[in-house]
Amino acid sequence: MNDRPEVYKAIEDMLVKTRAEELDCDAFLELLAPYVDQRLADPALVGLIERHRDLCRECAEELDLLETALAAK
Amino acid sequence: MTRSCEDWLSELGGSGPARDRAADDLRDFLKRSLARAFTGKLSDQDLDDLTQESVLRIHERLGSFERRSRFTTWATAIAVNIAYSALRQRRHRHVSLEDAMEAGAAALSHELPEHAELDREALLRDGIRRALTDRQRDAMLAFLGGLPLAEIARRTSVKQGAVYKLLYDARQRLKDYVETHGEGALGAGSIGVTA
Repeated sequence: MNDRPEVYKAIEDMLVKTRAEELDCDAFLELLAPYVDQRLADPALVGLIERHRDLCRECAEELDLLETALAAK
Repeated sequence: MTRSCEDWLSELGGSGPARDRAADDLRDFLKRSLARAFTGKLSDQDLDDLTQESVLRIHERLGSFERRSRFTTWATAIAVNIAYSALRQRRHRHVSLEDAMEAGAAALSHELPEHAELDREALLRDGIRRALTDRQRDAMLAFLGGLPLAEIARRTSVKQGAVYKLLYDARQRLKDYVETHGEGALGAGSIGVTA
C-alpha cells in the first residue's frame, strides 16, 4: 500500500524537472501567441516553452485554453 | 471578417465608422473564442463583461503588438488571460495567503507512517525548513497549499513571473539540499536514495 502523501510526490516531481535554465511565467505568456502560431524559429526557445508548460500547471492550462479558443470554428 | 494584421491595427487605431466596425468585429470574435474555451464556466453576462474588458485592454496595448503572431492570436491570448485570471480569482477569493500556507504546512506534517520512504520525506521537509529563505518557504507552502502562482502574486503585489522565480530559486536550493544530504543523485522517483 502506498500511503505517501501526494504533496511529497509533487515536490519530488518539481525537483526532478528543475533545470538551470527556465522561462518564468511572464516570459512564457509573452511568447504564447507566436508559439501557438508556430512562428518561433529558435528550437531552444520552443524547448524552454515546452519545459515551462511541463512545470507550470497554470500556464499549461492557459495554453490549452488559448488553443481551444482558437480551434477551427 | 477577413482582415490582415495591418488592417486590424489601422482600423482599431483609427477613428470613425471603420474603427467602430473593427471593434464590433473584434468583440464578436473574442466572445465566440472565450465561449469556446470556457464552455460551462462563464455566464453570458461574464462573457460580455470579460470580452469588453479584453477589447479595452487590447486597444491600450495596440502599440506593443510586435507582429510575432497573427493579430487575432495575440488578441485572443490577452482575452484568455483576462478571463482565466478572473475565474482563478473567483475560485480562490475566500483563501488567504495565510490559509494556503497553513494548508501547505499541514500537508507536509502528516503523521508519518513507518515505511521505506520516511527518510525521503523527512529530507524534503528538513530542506524546506532549513534551506529556504522565509519568502521562499512562504511561497512554497502557499503553492503546496493549493494557491495558484497568479493568486500568490496578486496577494503579494508582484508579477506572476516574480513568484515563479522565487519558487524556482526555492527548487534549486531544495534540490541542492537533497543532493548534498541524501545518499544519491536526484533522479526520477529516487530522491536521496542510492540505486
